[in-house]
Amino acid sequence: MGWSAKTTFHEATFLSTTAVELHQVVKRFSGQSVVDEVDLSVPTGSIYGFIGPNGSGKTTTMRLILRIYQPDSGHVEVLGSRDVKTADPRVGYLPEERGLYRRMTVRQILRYFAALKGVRRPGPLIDDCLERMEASSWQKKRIEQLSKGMAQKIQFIVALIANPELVILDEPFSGLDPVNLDLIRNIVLELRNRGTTVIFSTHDMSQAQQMCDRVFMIYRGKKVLDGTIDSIRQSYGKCMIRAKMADGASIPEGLPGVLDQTAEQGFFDLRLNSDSERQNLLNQLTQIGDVEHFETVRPTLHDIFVQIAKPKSSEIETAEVIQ
Amino acid sequence: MKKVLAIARREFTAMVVTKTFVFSLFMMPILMAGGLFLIPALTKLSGTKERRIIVADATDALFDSIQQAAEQRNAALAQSMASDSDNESVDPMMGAETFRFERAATATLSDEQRLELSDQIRDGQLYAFVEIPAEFPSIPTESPNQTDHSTAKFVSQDAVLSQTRRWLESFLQKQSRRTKLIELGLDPDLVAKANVAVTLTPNTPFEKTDSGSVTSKDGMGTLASMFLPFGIMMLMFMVIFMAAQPMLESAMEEKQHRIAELLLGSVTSTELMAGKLIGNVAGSFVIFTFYACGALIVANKNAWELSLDWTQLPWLIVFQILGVLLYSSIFLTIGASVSELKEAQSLLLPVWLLLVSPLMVWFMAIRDPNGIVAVSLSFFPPSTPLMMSLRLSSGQTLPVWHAPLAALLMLTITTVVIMTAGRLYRISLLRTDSAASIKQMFQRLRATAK
Repeated sequence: MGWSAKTTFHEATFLSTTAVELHQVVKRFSGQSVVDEVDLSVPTGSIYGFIGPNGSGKTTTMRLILRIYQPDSGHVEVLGSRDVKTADPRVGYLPEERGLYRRMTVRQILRYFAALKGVRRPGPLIDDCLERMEASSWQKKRIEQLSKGMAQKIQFIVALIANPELVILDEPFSGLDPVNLDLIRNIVLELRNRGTTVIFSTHDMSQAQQMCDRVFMIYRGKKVLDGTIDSIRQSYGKCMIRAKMADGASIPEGLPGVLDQTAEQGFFDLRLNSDSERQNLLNQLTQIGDVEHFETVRPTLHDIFVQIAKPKSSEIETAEVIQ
Repeated sequence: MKKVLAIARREFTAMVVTKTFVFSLFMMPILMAGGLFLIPALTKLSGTKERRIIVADATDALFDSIQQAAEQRNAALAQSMASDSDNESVDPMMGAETFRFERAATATLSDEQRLELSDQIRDGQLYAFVEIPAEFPSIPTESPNQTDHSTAKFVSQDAVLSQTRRWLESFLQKQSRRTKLIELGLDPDLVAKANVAVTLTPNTPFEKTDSGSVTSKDGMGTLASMFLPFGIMMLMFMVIFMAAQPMLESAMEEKQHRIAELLLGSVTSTELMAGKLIGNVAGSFVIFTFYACGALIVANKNAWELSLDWTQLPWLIVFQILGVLLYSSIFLTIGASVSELKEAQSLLLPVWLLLVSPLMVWFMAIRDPNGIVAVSLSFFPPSTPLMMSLRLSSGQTLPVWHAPLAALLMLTITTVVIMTAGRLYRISLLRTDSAASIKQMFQRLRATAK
């Protein structure tokens, strides 16, 4: 079973290769670029992970795709349309900041949003969705009577109520218990299998690594990563060496070709300028002493994220001066 | 359009199908007109209480007649309270106190006696004491303005505002006039006949009825010509007030509870605002219909003749719709611009002042509906709905172009306000900070215009 038994495979859209296309998109607030010349191409039927530190521009990019914001320059194409003035009913959205009308019942909320998405006779669809989300018994409850996690599941249904072709989920897994997390993760994977394109943002790198076909990382408004998990890890892995010296000897800092290094339990992770430095590094280490361990490692997404988003020492010094 | 109607339907339901709305619908007129009906009702409910008053009558001629008049008044009051009907000799606003006048031990009071009686007043044993001088009432020998020999003293803790003092003063006035006329050798009855009041009956211009007779309205028209327009203006005020307030709450709820972003994922901000305003106007018709029907039922039950020109009703509806749209869009924008009700209140104050400005000058405007004040406020869009409703129901003929021009001006301003409000609404809805002043709101507008 897909999202619901009544959902259909998005055949028409699946024929086109990209669900979302951003070209040189810029969005400024108070003169400051929050999204800066970003290009992005989201293939139809894929799960695309948006990662990046807080305030990096993920949510703004999502709002640009949703046409809540309009770009200052560049263009956004969603499901083959560049019309920026109307909300597209083929797009479902779960915002990061979650809220619903507290006085309305679950069923009233779902009927209301179904009407906003142009769903005719939504009754059977609502029943089906509630059942799929194991929430059938809540339909007469007011939102204010639900727990945070329960309300989040209702919002998830709201995002999918119109059987969208593109689903944008901003931090969909935050605040969920493991059971509900699995439930929603399975539904997301089922959506992808049915041809729905899913974009979701997350701070959980292992989640992104497990679920996403492709990952897009934005940092300070600029795109810094974009590609499949494997290609990203591959490209970062070539430059990363894990080494251990015999007798626990340390590796001095500032070796030629080494950008930075970290040490843990006698192992040193050394990031190189380029692949060509590997042999040079090995030569230098053998001159220092006996090399017990030397391997090229593929970093996790977490490692790559930290490597990109970790404040540089010069920035820390500046911040201290400002304080 | 279906999305807009779906939003309108939700807004209408959220506005009308709430206990608060139903409660406000009934409470608003009760609170506003409460004074007129509540005070007499409460007076009757609380029953009568006796007020003891000592009279030091140095003339030795007035006490008996005072006592007699008080007994008559007490009897009339008792009858009124028992029969549940209004007795014209008892003014309900004069309270439900009976008077017990007692003669003082001496005809004139010494300072010691005055102090002792004052202590009794302070202790609550006595309500008041009155000193009537021996020469009261005497004919002034000089010009009446130079020396007043008709001054008696009324001493109580609430002497200035005392209704008892007013009653006694009125009684002594009549007694004084009669005595003076007799002393001057004039027959009080003849003077009374000579003083018959002249009545200039207020009449409306004559008109031909369907049966062909020529008629003019009189009498009741005097009161109706003042209070009917005021009532309709108040109706307009209540409709706008009760319609605009939910818009503020709705926008604040959507902002505070982060519903706005979910909505904006499904509809544009323009569709959202349009749906809200349509739902709001529909809600305002419920209020209008409720109060208008209520007023007609009350008028019919009491056989009041409403001298309303029904041909003006479409204009009243036009001004109601425009008024609701204007103020609701402003309230909606303010709700979207702030994070707390406290911040909204400071932004709402100037808006309220604009809305209620016609209420401050209604008496002047109703006396001359085509005067400068009434006409100026009619063409000042924020006050147009209230002032035009007052003028249209005044019964006076307005220049034929006044209503269309006022509507056109208001339509123009309302359109500009809705468009500006729409932009501000869109900008502000997803912002987490507040625009705590009108200046900051316009700064936001300028920032997005760049």
